[in-house]
Amino acid sequence: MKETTSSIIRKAAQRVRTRDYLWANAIAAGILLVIGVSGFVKAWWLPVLAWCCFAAALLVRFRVSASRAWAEPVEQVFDTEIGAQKAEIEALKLAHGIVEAMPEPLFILDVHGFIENANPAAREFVTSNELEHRHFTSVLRAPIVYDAVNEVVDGKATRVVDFTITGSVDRYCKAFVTPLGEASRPDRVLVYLRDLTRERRIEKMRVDFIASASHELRTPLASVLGFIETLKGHAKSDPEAQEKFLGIMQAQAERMQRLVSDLMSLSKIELHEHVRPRDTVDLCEATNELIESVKPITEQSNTSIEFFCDCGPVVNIVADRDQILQAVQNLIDNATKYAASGDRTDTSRVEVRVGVGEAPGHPSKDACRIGDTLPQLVGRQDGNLDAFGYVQVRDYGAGIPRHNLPRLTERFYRVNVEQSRRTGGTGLGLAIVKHIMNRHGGGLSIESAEGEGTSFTCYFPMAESQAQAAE
Amino acid sequence: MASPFSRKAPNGLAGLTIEISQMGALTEAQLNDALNAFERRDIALAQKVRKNDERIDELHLQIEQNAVSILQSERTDASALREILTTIKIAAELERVGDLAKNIAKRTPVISATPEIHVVSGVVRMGRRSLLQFSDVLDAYGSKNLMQAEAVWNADDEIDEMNNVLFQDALRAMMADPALVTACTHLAFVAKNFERVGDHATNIAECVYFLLTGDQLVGDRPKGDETPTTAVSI
Repeated sequence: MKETTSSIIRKAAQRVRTRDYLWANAIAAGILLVIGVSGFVKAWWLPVLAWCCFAAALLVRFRVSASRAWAEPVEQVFDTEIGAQKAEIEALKLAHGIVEAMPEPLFILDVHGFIENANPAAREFVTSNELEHRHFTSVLRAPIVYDAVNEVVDGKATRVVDFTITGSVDRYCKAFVTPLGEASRPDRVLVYLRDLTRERRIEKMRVDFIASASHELRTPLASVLGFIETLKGHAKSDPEAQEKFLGIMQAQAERMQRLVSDLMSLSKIELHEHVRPRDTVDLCEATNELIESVKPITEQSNTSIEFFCDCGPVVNIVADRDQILQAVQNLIDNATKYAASGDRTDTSRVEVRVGVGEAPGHPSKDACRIGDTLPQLVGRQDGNLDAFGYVQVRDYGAGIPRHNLPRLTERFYRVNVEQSRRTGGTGLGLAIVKHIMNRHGGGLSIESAEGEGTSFTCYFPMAESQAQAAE
Repeated sequence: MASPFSRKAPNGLAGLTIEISQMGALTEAQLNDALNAFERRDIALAQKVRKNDERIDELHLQIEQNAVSILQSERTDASALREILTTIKIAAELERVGDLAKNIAKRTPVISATPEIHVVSGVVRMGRRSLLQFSDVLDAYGSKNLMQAEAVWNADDEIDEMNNVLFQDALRAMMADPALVTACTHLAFVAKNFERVGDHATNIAECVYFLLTGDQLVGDRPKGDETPTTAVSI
């Protein structure tokens, strides 16, 4: 730009000077012609010679004066201007860079509530890539924040408000709404969000843990204490009774241990439920490995596990490998218990399927469903059906009565309390699966028909590369 | 970056869209507050929900008036007309959901005075489910997501099923202990209110479907409300 400006200046200067030069020559010629004609000078060549000298002198002057001299001051003005602009752009870039680099969501709104700028954290927060020029209310449903924006536009000082975003995982946030520019009449409003979900969850976790622990541990503890009293008392010299009571006490203690470890892992999962995992896991390989490792145990209970891969050999999902294994293991454990509960006398069968898209539905027309459907999950993610992988665990046991289905994933809920106690269930298995699925942005769908078994399906969002390949 | 003052305050159809998303957000927050107040027996929060319902009614009126004035003043083409009609319908549905939230908040003080029974946690779970359906359908409307709208429409049977179970539970609890009649009756009504929220969510899903395709969402919607015919024998 600088080059063209200075050359424009030079050319203009040249044009003006050429015109001036020609005019000066013409005027001189005119004057000398008048002098020549008036006869004031006798020799005719004298004015001609004078004109030639004049023209030559002017020419020298014309050549010598470089047009640079003309351009320089202008260029100087330009330089300072451009320098100032550059500095301003640098400052803007810095500000923009800071906004972009902020790990927490930041929105800059105009006075009517339209988004002018949003940083990547904000885009991730509302899971949408196109935020600019959209209205704030259509991006974030938090009326309290929008009220605060309006108040700030009307000249109020910075407002701080708490709000909740509902969804499959609730999020608790604090919003700082600050005017940008003149405080009494701001031209923009800055909305800065802080996700306090983790803090709230820690608080809730503590309360829940104490509540569940005191609720569920009380019974086995009381029973253990009762047996200890008996052992110290009248069973003191009865080795047979001692043997029996110690066996029961061991079973109760083991139950408490399982309960505590399940409660711990549930708390851990719940704590991070709002943070999506980032690793890529091959669902096929992970499931297969798990099945191989549990086979020796299930074979003891006369249950055969069959593994089917309904699609290509690799199903890459975004997941936390340990949690996936835990979820599938819980489902297989459940299925093994239920498979044995049916009327069949032959070896019971559990099928595990891994695939992409919609999982096969329950064949029975009386089957009842509970949990998230694949279209619901896809709708929340704004993707297509093939962007989800699934693992389905199907048993052919007694099935779950319809009226028990809705409460199935509730913690400590057991369809059959006696049977659950006998087989060592804690009543937390499905609750754990559900929370793991929530964390993965997936869902658990349960279909069951009495007498025809139950199928549990976990849907997981696929890793981006494979989801694109599938399209 | 354009100066913020260069943009005029949105009016017409754009303004209407903003108002409806505001109304949706407000209704969602009301429902969430009502549910939390019910769960935590928080009478102050319930009181706030009852008071805030006025704002939804005001917005509803404002949206209706604006829609009428747009229809009067502008020549609207077919798609804009469809959008305005959908807006009016959705605003009416939202207003009803707001009323249901208010009704739940009204019952909260009465229920809070009764002993806590296991039916309550079931009602809370059902409330969360219906709130999720409602949030999903608002998302579908906001992002014009056809698949999500259809998914909401298809998933309402789960809430019906929960309501059936809760209704039976409430009846059983009442028969077992007459002292629980007050609590259980109110709980059954609260559950019914949440079930209605789910129904309104499917109605909004139908509106979204109509908005995006111009067709009515037809076919058998899975329905499962059995409470009218439920009886529990002793």
